[in-house]
Amino acid sequence: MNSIILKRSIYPLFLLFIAYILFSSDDAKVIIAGVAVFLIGMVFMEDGFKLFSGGMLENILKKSTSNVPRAIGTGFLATSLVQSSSLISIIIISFLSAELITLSGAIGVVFGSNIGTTTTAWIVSAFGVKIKIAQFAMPMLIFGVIFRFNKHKTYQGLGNILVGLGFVFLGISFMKDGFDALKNGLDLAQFAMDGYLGVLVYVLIGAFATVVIQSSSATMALIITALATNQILYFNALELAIGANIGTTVTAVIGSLASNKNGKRLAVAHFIFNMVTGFIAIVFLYQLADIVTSLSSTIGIADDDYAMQLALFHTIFNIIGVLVVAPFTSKLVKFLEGLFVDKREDITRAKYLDKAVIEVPEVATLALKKEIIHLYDNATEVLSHALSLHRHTYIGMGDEMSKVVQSCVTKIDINIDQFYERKIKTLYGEIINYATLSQESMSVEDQHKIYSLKIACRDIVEAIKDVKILQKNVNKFLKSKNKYIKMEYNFLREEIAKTLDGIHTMRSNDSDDFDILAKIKLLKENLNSLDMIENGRIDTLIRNNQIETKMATSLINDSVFAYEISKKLIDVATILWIEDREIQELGEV
Amino acid sequence: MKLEKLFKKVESFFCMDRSQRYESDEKREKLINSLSKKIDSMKEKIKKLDDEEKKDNMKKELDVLKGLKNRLDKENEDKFKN
Repeated sequence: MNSIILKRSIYPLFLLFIAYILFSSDDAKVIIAGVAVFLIGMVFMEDGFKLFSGGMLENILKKSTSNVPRAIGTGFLATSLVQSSSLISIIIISFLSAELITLSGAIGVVFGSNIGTTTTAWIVSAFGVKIKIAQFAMPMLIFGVIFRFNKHKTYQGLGNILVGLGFVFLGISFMKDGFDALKNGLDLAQFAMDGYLGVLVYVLIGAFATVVIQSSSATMALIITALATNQILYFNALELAIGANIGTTVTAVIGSLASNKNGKRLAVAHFIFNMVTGFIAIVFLYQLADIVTSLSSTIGIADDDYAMQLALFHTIFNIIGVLVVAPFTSKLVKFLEGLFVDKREDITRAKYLDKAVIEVPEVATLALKKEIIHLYDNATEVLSHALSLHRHTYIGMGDEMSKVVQSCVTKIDINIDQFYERKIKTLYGEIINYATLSQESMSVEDQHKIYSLKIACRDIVEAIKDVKILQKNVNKFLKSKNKYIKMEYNFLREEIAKTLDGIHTMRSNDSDDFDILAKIKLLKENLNSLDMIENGRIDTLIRNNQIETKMATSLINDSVFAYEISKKLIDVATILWIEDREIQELGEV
Repeated sequence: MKLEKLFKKVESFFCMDRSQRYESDEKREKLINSLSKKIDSMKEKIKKLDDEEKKDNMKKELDVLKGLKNRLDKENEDKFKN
């Protein structure tokens, strides 16, 4: 009870505390407003890169993580460019969930991303505190807003990036002005602490500030501006930077609590890495500071340019962390896989729909596609069993298909309603829900992709409903003494099996979009054989008195169901396995 | 000047005003080119194949793609005429 009251009062107390600071000090108000504007800028930049990269970022991350050193390089470059390690983390977790990259590759990206995030410190120390950065912010904001009104996604993205950068620069300028003014009233440097007690206190302050602000980049900007205005001592700034590095992992770990096992594994890897790095930096703080001093003079950083020296320190201790931890990546992977064990796969639930990536259009679309393939695989089981077939007996049989289908006549006991409730309905619901939520943050073009995926999902479910009706007569006529009707129902089963086999072949082979398109077109041509009235098949059977009238009407109706099932499956394959939208449209005609 | 007109002027200044039709024509042109390349590469593959069954299947697929290319070419010609 007490803990609930405590939890509920933390947030209002925090707001009251902030309000008190804002009213009691004008300078603090400017600094805090600077942090707020900086954070808004980061949000705009992240959104901008999501739109601007148009999937390029995801492609780079997907293809460049084959080994740990490569993954580290990719993580570094991507984060330096995007200036958001959280965006990179989100994409990486989704790829890990979709099994597009390995855990060691993902860990490599996290290591690289940690080095990449130090570029923010370089930007702030090189430009933010040396020139009147607010002057650059204004044109960026103006052009950014103009671009945001453009109808093209790329320009909207560019607009967001410019607006984001403008706000980041404005935020830094506010922080700097705030600290400059604060110096006249209150000198924070008087709270400087020496020795290892000082180290611990300042590391904790840095970590706490990052947990509260939820961004190590914003904390670093705050530290650098405070240092540049002599509000804190150089050594205390180094300690705060170490704290910021530790604090950021707390945010990641808290964020991963609601995530799947991959998200948790990656968050723990991040936590371990930053803890080890932080420990090394604390133990060897003075030696590292000496290295920074000697390196600074080598690369031309002035002796009194502490802001740049802090940026250098931030980069060096992260590089050392990578050098120390990276050789143990395979051991770390084993440990993490043991820590979060794969539970026995529940095929009735969604495997790939991670809520953490729902706002990244490319990644959410990919997750949805994977999940619908999962649904399709569940559906092929019920479709086959309803026709008294097992997938392993007819898949890949080619010309032997007819013989195989004729030999499988033993009824498979399957209650389609139960199967639907157990293996389809929940998954279907989860997919539709995820698709609808993901559409909210998407462009019109991406929304169209999601719409197609929803259609594919609906077609799969409709095919199951159709096979339920077909199942009754299949079971009935497979036992019939009339060899002609038996033959006809075997033909219907064979045609559906051929469609399923054709789709299986096209997705398992090394096929490109055109190969798949050609196969789909051939499958569609084959569908005409199921039109019993047009091809005259039914007329021949009636005319020759080979089947009774009742049988004929059942056959006509059921051939329509077989046609519909096959057609829907082909449409699903077009959406799921042809990547290019233009080629997909050729398949739809 | 209306805001909309101003944006249009800015768009044309930055060459951002390519019409959707132009873009779709460009995409269509690319599609036909890559389809031609695919047809050529399939022809080469068929020549090299020894397995008769695979050869027949690939020939059928090639015919489908040729049919599609003819259709696209015709559509383009008609558009040009109009």
